[in-house]
Amino acid sequence: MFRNQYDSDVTVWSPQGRLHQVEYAVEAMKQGSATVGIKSETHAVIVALKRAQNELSSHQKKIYEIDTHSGVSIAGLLSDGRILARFLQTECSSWRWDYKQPVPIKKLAEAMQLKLQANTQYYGRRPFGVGILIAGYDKDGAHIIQTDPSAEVVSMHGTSIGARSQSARTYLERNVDKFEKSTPEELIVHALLALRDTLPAEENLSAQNTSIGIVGKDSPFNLLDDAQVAVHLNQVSTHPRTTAGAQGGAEPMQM
Amino acid sequence: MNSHDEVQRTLNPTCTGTSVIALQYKTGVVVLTDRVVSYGKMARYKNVSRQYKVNDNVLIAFGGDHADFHWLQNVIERQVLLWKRFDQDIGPKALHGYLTSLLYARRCKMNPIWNTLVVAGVEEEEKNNKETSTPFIGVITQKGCAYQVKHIATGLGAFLLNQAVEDEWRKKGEDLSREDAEAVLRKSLELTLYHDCVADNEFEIGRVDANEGVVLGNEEKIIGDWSIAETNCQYE
Repeated sequence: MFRNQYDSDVTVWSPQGRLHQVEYAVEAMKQGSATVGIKSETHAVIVALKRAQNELSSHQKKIYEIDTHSGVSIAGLLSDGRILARFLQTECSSWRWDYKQPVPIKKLAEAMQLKLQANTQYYGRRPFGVGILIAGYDKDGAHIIQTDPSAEVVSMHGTSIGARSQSARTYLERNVDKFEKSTPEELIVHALLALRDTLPAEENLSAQNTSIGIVGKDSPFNLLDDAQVAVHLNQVSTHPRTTAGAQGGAEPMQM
Repeated sequence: MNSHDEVQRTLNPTCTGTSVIALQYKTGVVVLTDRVVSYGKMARYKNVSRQYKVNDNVLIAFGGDHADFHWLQNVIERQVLLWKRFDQDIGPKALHGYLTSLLYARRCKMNPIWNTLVVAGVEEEEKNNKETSTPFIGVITQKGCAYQVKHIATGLGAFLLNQAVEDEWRKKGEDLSREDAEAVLRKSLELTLYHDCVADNEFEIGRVDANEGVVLGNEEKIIGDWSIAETNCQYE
C-alpha cells in the first residue's frame, strides 16, 4: 500500500479526497480471520473461523451474544472488537430499561454508525481496526448488518469479512436466491460452506476452529462451539469442496 | 439549572382532569374521559379533550394536572420521532415502559409529574400482521407505579367503578364487541356523574382498533337519572 505524507493522522485529507488512516484501518480488518453472516426470512446466522496463536493456546472467541435477540461476530483487531461488542450490549440493556422490550436492530446499527464515525473525525483518535457482523431478529424480521472501520454500516442479505473473504462472498452471490426460504439448518450449512471456501486447500473447518451463532423467530440467540458445531460440520462434509481460498496476499497476521 | 440556588418541587396540581375509564374489547381498546378541566372544585375549562393520539396504534389519556400532561405531549412526540429514525412506530408497551421510567424517576426526585396516565393501544407482535396484534392498556400513577390491565377506572372512578366494570368484563371478557364495551363505559360514566363533584356530563369515547387505528371520540352529553337525589339523605 502507499506510504505518503497525508497518512499521518485521521484528520488529514489526501489531495485525492481520501482518508488514508481510515483505509489502513480497513486493511487491519481484512487481515483478521474470516466470518460469514446470512439471513433468511426467519433467521440470521453468523459463523466465524477462530484462530489459535499456537498449539498451547485456546481458539479466540469471535462471536458474542449481545441480547436474547442479537449477536455479533468480529474480524480484525479482536480487542477493538470486544469493546464494540460490549458497547452494543450496553445499548441493548439501556434500551430495555426504558422500553421494556428488545432494541430494534436498526437502532443498534445507528448507534454503531455514530460510534465508529466519531473515531474518523477527531484528532487524537484512531479508527477501530475491526469489522463487525450484527445478526439480529426483531419485529421487522431477520437482519445481518455489516460494519467496518470507515463507519460504513450496511444491511446485507449475506456477507463475509476478513482474510480471503472474497471466496466466501462468491459462494454467497452464487446462492443468494436460496437463502430467503432456507430452514435454519440449511442456512447454517450455507454459511459453513461459504466459510470453508476462505480456507487454503490443506486446511479444514473443525469443531475447534469454528463458531456458529444463530437467532430467529421464537429462537433466542444461541452460540454453538465445539461439540455442537461438530453436528453441523458433518452436514458440510457431505458437500465436496470446489474452491480453495485463492485470495492472494501476505501471510495473515496472527489475530 | 443551578442546583444550589433553585429547588423545584411540585406542591399541588393546579388545573386537573378526573377519572379515566378504559376497557379492552375483541380487537382494541375504548377509553372514556369527560371534557372538563377543573380548577379545584370549579369547572373552569370545558370542551377540553383529555385524550392524546400518539400514533396510529397508541392513545394516551390523563387525569391530574393538565399542564403536566401538556408538557408530556412534547416529550412523547420526541419519542415518536426518535423511533421514526429507525423506521419504527412506537408501540403502547414501549411508551408505557418509557413513561413508567420517567414518572418513577421524577417521583424519586420529589418532583412528580402529577398525572395518572392510561396508555391504550394495539400492540403489534409482528410487523404488518394484524392477526397477531393484541389490545393493550397500561396505567401509570404519579408515583411511578405501573401495571397492565384489561380494564381500568382511575381517579374517583377507581373507587366507584372498578367493580361495575369488572362485573361486565366477567360476562364476556375478551369477546366483548366494541358496542358492548362502549355501553359499559357509558353506564360507568353515569355513576361518576352522580358522585364525583369534579366530573362533567359532556364526555368523549376514543378508541384504538387493530383495523381502524386510533379514532378520537366526538363529544356526547348525558343527563342521567337524578331521581336518586330525593332519596339521598342529605338532600332537602
